[in-house]
Amino acid sequence: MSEWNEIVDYFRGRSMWMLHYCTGCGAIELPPTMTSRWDMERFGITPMATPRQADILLITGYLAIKTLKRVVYTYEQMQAPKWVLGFGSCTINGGIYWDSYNVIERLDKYIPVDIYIAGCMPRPEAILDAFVKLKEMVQKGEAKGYEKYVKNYEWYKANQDRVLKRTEPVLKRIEKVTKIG
Amino acid sequence: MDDILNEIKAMDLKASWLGDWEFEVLTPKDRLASTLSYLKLKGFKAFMGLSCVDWIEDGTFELVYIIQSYDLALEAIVKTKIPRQKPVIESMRSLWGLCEVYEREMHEFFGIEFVGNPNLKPFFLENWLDTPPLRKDFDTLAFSEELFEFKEDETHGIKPPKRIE
Repeated sequence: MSEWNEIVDYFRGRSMWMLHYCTGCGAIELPPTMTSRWDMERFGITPMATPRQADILLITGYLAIKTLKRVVYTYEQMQAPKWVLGFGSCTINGGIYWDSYNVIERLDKYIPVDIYIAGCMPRPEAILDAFVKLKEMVQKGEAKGYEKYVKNYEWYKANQDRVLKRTEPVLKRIEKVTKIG
Repeated sequence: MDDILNEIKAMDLKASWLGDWEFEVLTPKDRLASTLSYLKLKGFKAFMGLSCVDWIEDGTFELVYIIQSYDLALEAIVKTKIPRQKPVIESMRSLWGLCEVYEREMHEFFGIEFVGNPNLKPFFLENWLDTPPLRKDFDTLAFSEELFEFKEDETHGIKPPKRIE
């Protein structure tokens, strides 16, 4: 069975459909990546229109609380095997919005991220590099973010609910803690 | 072009030119509706926007109405101040229907109450329970740290950046 998985993983890495979730300014780096200058189709990666048919979820840039909800919907609609690429410093630590009231930090608290692309903005070369890296990881069977999500679903769900389903003011929570302490 | 400004000054309001095609009018809160309707009659028919400035040291919110006249090629900026403690002002939706949307936004981000606007429900923010976020006394850093829990991660070695004061 493991040999069969190896063969399957090899072919998975050679045909990947990408759904790009363009929330932030990172979307502007994708047209040159897709079109003739850098042409990511050379690596067997093409944009896909719907989440149900896509393998890669590319999240370009910051996520507000409102868009995080949509990203979680989108991610859960995708069929396994699925991989997430976090694009730009906003998905890593909030980027320039790190102290904002409305933008999340650390995307991998809410959905599992297989590869982060650092930079603000990452160049198309960096995106292609991430695709090649992901392809290698998939073919070796290392990119298992979707299994991590199923195994630790409660942890991810608790983090999502903490942000999305608030029942009391956040800053009051701090006051309570400091008063008790 | 100076006629309009002189007429406004004759109404005992402060008005001054900001540039070749732009002037500002400072009006007290209770004369806002009459000032705006006067300007609308004079040709300033296009409502461009409403914004708000939080002057926390003075304890006031300054509402800024931007209106334009296509015939005169002029822009008027009408400013009025309301107390920060009890921010209530009448809605201008009878003058420009578009005001309703802007007032909804100002209500959400500054907590200003617009009397006469029936549509002050949440707009951009999801499930917001704290003080309105664009008020100057709202601590975004504390909010962000508490809700999104930014802590140094040993596996990634990510450190929070230093805050620029």
